[in-house]
Amino acid sequence: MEQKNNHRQLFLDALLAMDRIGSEKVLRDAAQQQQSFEAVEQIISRMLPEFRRDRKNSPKIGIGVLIDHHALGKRIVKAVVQAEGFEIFDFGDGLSVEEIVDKTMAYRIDVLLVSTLMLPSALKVKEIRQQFDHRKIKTWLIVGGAPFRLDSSLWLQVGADADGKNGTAVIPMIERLVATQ
Amino acid sequence: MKTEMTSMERVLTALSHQEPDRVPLLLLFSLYGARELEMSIKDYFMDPELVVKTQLMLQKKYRSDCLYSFAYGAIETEAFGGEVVFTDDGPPNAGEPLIGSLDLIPSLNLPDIGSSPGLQRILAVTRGLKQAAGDSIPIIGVVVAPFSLPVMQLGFEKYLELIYFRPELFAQLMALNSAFCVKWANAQLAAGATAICYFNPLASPTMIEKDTYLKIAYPLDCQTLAKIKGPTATHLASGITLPVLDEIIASKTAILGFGQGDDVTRLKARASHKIALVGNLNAIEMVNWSPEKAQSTVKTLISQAAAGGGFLISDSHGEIPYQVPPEVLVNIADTVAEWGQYPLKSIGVDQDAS
Repeated sequence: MEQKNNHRQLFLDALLAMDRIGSEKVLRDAAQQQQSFEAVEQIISRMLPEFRRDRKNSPKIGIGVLIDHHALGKRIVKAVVQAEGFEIFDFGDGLSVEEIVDKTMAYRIDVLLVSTLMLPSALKVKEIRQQFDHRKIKTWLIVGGAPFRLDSSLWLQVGADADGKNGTAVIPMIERLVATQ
Repeated sequence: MKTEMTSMERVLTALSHQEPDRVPLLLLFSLYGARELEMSIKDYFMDPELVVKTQLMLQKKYRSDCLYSFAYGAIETEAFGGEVVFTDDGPPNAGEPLIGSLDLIPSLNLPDIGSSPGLQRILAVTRGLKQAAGDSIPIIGVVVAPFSLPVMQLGFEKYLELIYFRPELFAQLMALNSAFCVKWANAQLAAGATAICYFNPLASPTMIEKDTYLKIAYPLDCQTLAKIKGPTATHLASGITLPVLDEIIASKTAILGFGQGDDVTRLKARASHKIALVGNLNAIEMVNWSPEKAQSTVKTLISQAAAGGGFLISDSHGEIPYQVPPEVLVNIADTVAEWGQYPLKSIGVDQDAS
């Protein structure tokens, strides 16, 4: 049992290190990150049942790409969140505000992760927040993607609860947000 | 104070690494014209005559030193047979990748510029601008580099599969894209473009490791640029440039569009008298700039990069976003007019006013 725990910790540490390395520019480019995470996705699908962190009372996490169709960032964050033992629902890409809000309600999502590529899409997050407020949805909203990296205050302007710069950063955010509920 | 120059004189003097009357300001307006006219982006781009009039109006209103015939990047994949998706307030995007399977690459044909309505509209805009402005204002045309175009042709993930696992098909697509790029650039020059902006975001180490770029794409960039019959500006569209600066200089391009992540002071020192720099205002942040922030950012940039010429102020991505308020653009132009005059006034380092 102890050996299995050690192996699991090693697996998770390696996964998180890979994500951290990517975000800290040791894996310096999008191409390297893509290759790494394709490998990680394969590893996860094979090994997750054995090594996935066992979380009791996981919040329900939703993830999707708003408007845009570039799903690389979503894949990376999803892989890390999955390996950390969270229950995550992938809503896909090219989503409208209405679609993402409807899915959030239908799946009773606790934390919604929204990825964007283009500035107009990032600004549409404001409409998600308005819909949440209008429908009295208490889901936490974490955003990520190029516009939020280029403008470090944009997440605040669109009414998000946090700026998820990468998969590693998202984990403590989810834990912190959920702990405050 | 120096005698006031025309925009063309100002830009050419800066490009020859001398100090003109003031730092040139290149505000790259494309879809922003639709915002100014309060009309749909699609309708705007479908009317070359209107685009010409609006380009001239924007150039005058915001005191820019160039005219820009660019509409949207996906116009090139449209010429290959791809679809374009228009939105209300952002750049038109490529729709579903036109190359659904990598095995279709050998069946792709070189687009005929004459039978592509989108490209013909750009040429009509270029001719109209040339007729109106003559040689007084530079007209900048745009091509997407052969190595960067496949992101729209294939989608990024499939393109990486092509790069790393299908080298023969990759070489075929590069040869086709290079032939198109040269043909398209030269058609714009023949229509009256003064220079061609060679957009190549994938050349940046932000996107792909330098060694891979140098091995698989850099020689092709050099060959492609050499066949373009006019001056070129290589633009990495927000990506960092410093690690590939020497190679870009060696590719014989005249100008480098640098990113907001670059160390401006180091870049200026290394580029001095070798390549002119254009950049690097953060167009995303620009959406929310206060007058103070616009002024402090422009002043800092001038203090870092403008001494001795060889520098033109612009945004770092190659397009003013639809969402930027007109007041911000006026603030930028006012600051360049006040603080960009040569000889430069001493500029203290401002506190961040954000």
